[in-house]
Amino acid sequence: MAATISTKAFCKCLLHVSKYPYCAVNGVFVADKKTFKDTREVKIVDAVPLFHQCVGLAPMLEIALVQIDTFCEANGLMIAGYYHANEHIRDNNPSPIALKIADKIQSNFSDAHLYLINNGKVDASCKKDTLMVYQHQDGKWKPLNNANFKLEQEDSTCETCADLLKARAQEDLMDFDCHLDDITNDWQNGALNERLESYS
Amino acid sequence: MAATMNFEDVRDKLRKWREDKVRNSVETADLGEYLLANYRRKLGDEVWPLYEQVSIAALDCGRLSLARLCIHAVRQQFPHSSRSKRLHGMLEEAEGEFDKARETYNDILKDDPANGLVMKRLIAIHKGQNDIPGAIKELNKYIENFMSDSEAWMELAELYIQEQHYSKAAFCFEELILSNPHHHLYHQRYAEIMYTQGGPENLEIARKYFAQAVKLNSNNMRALYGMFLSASHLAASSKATIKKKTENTKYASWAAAQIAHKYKQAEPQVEVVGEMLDKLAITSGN
Amino acid sequence: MPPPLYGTFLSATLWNSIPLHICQAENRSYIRLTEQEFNRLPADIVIECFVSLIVTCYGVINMAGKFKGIRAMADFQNKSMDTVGNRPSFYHFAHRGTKLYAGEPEEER
Repeated sequence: MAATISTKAFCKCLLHVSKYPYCAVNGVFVADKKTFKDTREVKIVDAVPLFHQCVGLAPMLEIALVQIDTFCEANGLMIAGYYHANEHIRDNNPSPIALKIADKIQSNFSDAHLYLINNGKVDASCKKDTLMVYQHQDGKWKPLNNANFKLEQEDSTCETCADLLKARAQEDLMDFDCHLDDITNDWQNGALNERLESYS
Repeated sequence: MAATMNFEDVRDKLRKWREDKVRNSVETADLGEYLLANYRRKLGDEVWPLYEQVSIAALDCGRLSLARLCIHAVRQQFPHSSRSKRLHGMLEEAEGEFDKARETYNDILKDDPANGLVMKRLIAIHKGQNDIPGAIKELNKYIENFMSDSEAWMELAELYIQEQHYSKAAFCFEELILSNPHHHLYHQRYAEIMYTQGGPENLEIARKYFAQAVKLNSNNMRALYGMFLSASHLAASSKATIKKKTENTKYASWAAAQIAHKYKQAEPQVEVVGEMLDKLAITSGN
Repeated sequence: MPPPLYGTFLSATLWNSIPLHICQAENRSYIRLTEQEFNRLPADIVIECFVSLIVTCYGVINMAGKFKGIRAMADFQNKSMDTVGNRPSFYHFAHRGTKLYAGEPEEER
């Protein structure tokens, strides 16, 4: 079933990808648990940026996923997707590391999708086709047509994201690596969330 | 942004970024362009390293016209210098002209066969072409001649991690630790690689190196978390002896207490941490 | 002893070194005048020198405050892998930043 990605989630994902444009980055999407329970619709409400320093190592990923899980349980959410951006601009296939992490997330939530950032399409206009969606079928991750996910507010989401990029909002975004470097950095990005809410 | 800062602040900021090798190319290009446009004479001899810094930053954020201006200025001042020719090679790389860049670098190496920086650019070309195995091969050849180059060892380790050759990445970090035994980040990263490899022996090594990283820098959160994780896994392992279980439980508790203490000082994530540590202790028993 | 007194202590012993030097110089000139052989300084000057040295050391140590262990690589305590792990010699430019930020300044202008 097609997932819906909120403005907040889409913007945070793209801001993360823009803050560290020369690194491989990754993060998770969290969805509303009640909506899924009632309607089987995956409504992605937020993104949690994870790493940019070294996405291929396990221990901090474990810590991050447990922290996010704890946060989700407390807020009626669940980890429902994983996004990954490769380092090279022309590398638009999921790396073995991305597949491994996506497998882990999918094992906890069978409707989880893998969202790969199309590096060639990342630009100031923040279009929907920046994300390429993959679904787990027959033990493999297969690419889907972009119609298989929708943005909550098609036009205004991209516009909001473009405005934020122009205003260099990505400098305020904190991923889990930033939090581990200095635990006063808020990986939930409360301040940025408020700013995003003011756009809606 | 640059227009609101004074000359000394901008110059000092750029100087610090140059010395610390910080990679924030967008800001560097903006501030550097401002300084070069308005205070070129006031910079004195510092203008040349600044030109180099700004040209690399401009190449990094795709501002090729700014990069060309800066590189042209450097080449005019130092026409025969291998450093200015190398900058020109980097411009060719950014333009996608990898063959031309290779030629430029090989020309420099003809006159100066031991120029390590140019050899590294040849390896970077492989990365630019997304040829990681090629980059690894060339980097191994480079390291045979420049065995004390920490930057090269770290680059090789990162390339191996990308290819998931964790044991080879671990070897690279062993070399780094040998050359810098007091560097907490090397111990921490080595421990992360050992943890990722998995298995009881590797977990034990990981725990020891995380502990050493904590000893070298008690503020290293990754090391504290890593110590907690690896000790918890070891304590929960069915193959562990009673003595090992007790020891590792003690280490895990100590690390958890340190983590909770650090979060309490920082606030307000205390609640999340307490639950999370309990959850981690449960999941590592699986 | 409160900190300001250490300073007074230290100044007193340092000032005391001046008359000590004068005594020692006068002693040498007396020995030269009386054509005696110079073997060593008089015991009282030597003892006074040692006592001054010990008191000066005591004053300096206490004024300097508590000693901290010398930590090798102390300058790396506050750095993260973001800066330490940067490898400028291996930068490549085939990443999304070259497209994302290339158009920026033209738009601003």
